[in-house]
Amino acid sequence: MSEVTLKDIRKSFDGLEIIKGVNLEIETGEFVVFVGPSGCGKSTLLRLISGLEDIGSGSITIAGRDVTRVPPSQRGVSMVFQSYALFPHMSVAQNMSFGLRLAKVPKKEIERKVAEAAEVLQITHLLDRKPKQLSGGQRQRVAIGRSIIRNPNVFLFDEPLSNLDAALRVQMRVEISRLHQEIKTTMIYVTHDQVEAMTLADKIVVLNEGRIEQVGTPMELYRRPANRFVAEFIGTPKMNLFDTELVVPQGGSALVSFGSALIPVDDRVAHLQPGASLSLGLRPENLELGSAADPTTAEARIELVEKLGGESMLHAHFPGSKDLFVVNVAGEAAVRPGETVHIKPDPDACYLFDGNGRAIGQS
Amino acid sequence: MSAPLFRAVTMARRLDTGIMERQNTIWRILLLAIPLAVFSIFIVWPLLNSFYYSFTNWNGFNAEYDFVGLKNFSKVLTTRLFTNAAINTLIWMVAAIVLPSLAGLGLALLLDSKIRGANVFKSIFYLPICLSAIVVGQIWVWIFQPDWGLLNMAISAISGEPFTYAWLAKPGSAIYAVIVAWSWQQTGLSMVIFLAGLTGIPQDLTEVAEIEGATRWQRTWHVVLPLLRPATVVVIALSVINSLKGFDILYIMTGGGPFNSSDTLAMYMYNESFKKYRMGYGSAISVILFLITLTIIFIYFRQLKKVDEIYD
Ligand SMILES: Nc1ncnc2c1ncn2[C@@H]1O[C@H](COP(=O)(O)OP(=O)(O)O)[C@@H](O)[C@H]1O
Ligand SMILES: [Mg+2]
Repeated sequence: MSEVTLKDIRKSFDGLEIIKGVNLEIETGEFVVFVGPSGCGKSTLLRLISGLEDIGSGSITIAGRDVTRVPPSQRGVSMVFQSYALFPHMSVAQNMSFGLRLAKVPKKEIERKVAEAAEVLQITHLLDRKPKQLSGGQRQRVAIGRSIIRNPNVFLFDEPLSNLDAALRVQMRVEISRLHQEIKTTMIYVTHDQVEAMTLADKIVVLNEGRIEQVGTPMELYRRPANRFVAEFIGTPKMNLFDTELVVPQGGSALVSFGSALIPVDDRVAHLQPGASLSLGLRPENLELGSAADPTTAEARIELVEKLGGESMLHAHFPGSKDLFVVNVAGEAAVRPGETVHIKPDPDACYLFDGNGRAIGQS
Repeated sequence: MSAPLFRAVTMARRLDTGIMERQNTIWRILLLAIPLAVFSIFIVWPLLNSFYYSFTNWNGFNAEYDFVGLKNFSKVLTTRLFTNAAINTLIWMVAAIVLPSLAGLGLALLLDSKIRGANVFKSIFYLPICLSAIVVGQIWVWIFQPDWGLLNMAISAISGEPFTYAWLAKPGSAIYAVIVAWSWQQTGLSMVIFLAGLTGIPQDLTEVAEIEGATRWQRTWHVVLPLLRPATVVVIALSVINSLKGFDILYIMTGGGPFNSSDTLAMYMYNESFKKYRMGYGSAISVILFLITLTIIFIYFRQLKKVDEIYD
């Protein structure tokens, strides 16, 4: 059964449409991540689901109930904010029990639930402290505690880790993932960080300018991006994109140019005319250094070498072009800036996109 | 840069900063000395004078006077007029703190919710602060005027019968009428401070409270008001200080009358010293007022420190 259903959701601020018709089904127990660049409307969409923002048009169903016009407190959702949003004048325990106390839940039961949630989040020793006395990671745990204590149908997270430093972010990511496995409640998680999305999500929703670009599991998005936007957005380092065109030699099979080389492409381009303009996508990990003698390699000049220890990122460009692309090679690359090299693409890992940016077939 | 040249430049720089350092010190002393001198001449000196004269029977202009010991104080503390003025001061202070603060808070909460034209209302409610107490006092003297004052005309119009109650001339209402005028002026100030306090409350907090099931009223009570504590401290501090200074509006509206019914300690002190030429006696009143003020401020600042400890 689907837990959350969004039907043709639209929302405008001051006459400017920010959410431009979103349809989405979220299954019970699923961990869904909304990912997209800053300002694409992720938070707005989450706030529409929570009820903090009034919907423009469309409808929202949560746990089988139409909640489009239902106030936030009665939607069965809880929310964790980037700022943690803890009440500074209340202790950790008071923060966590705020909703239960308002609902006049018996004191004994509140205490039991606070103790339980604190146990899960390992913050039992902090219950009497004020938020001011906690570190960022501890604060976010308290905020999560305040959410689980109410036992909602859906957890909403708006960039909960963005205020933490890198090491803590990784640790909290693991903990949120573990928490989800433990309580198995539906979670909707907003982030602009595609690594977070890839590592946490059962299902990723890629948003761009108020529209859904693609929905799928992390590996589906990585392997079969529906368009250029998703291809570039998912995966680090970013996929390289090259403007190219289709070449079909007399009696031969179709090719596309990659710098000075030609790469064979399969019959997914059969419906296209020779000369059609295409984008060729190649992930940095699918490029390698080859020899000049190999006709499937293209000549390129190295601009910059980033040594990351276990691997190196080579930033290079074709002769006569200024557009840089990235080659990911294992180990410490023995090349230097200014050097001319030969780049060998993996022909089985090519992505092709048509003039509108839509993926052509799938490799 | 060659080595000797480099050395010369750094040396010149060091000299430079030495001179600047010395100049800075001179400036600092000068800049502190001027306000200190002004403060000494206009505050410390008269204060010490008051202490001195409170032990005399000086009449304010004659050259000679006698020391009378604590006689002024014993007289002050036993007259009915002093008790009357002290009680009025208390009423005045409590009202001057509570009314404008509550009204200012109410207005701030109303205007902070996104209503149309909020900025226009903010300006209108703040406007009275820009007027001097003398002007405000005179406006309200007219409003309270028995025959053609705005208030009585309004009451007459509503009730349909002529109404000519002399608000400022009746012992039962004079001080309260002045309190209304005073509150009208001070409300704008409290409102502005509370509005600033409200903008400092993150929207996330009220939103979380909303999701957690708090009604609008509960959000105000459990989240907004506690977070306004620092602003409240400022508002009350200013109210206390302003109310203790609030002499001019009383002077304009009632002069302490009728029959001393709106006398505050400040008013009483003024009348004794400058109208009845009993400078020694008046000085004793001012010393007592000074000690009371000091005590209040001392207690208040101790509370302030406690609040500070909770909110960073
Ligand atoms: N309350 C609002 N009033 C006006 N514009 C808003 C409001 N909230 C969001 N926006 C606009 O909507 C767009 C999307 O915002 P948001 O959903 O916060 O993006 P994201 O979370 O993806 O970074 C932004 O251009 C933002 O300026
Ligand atoms: Mg956002």
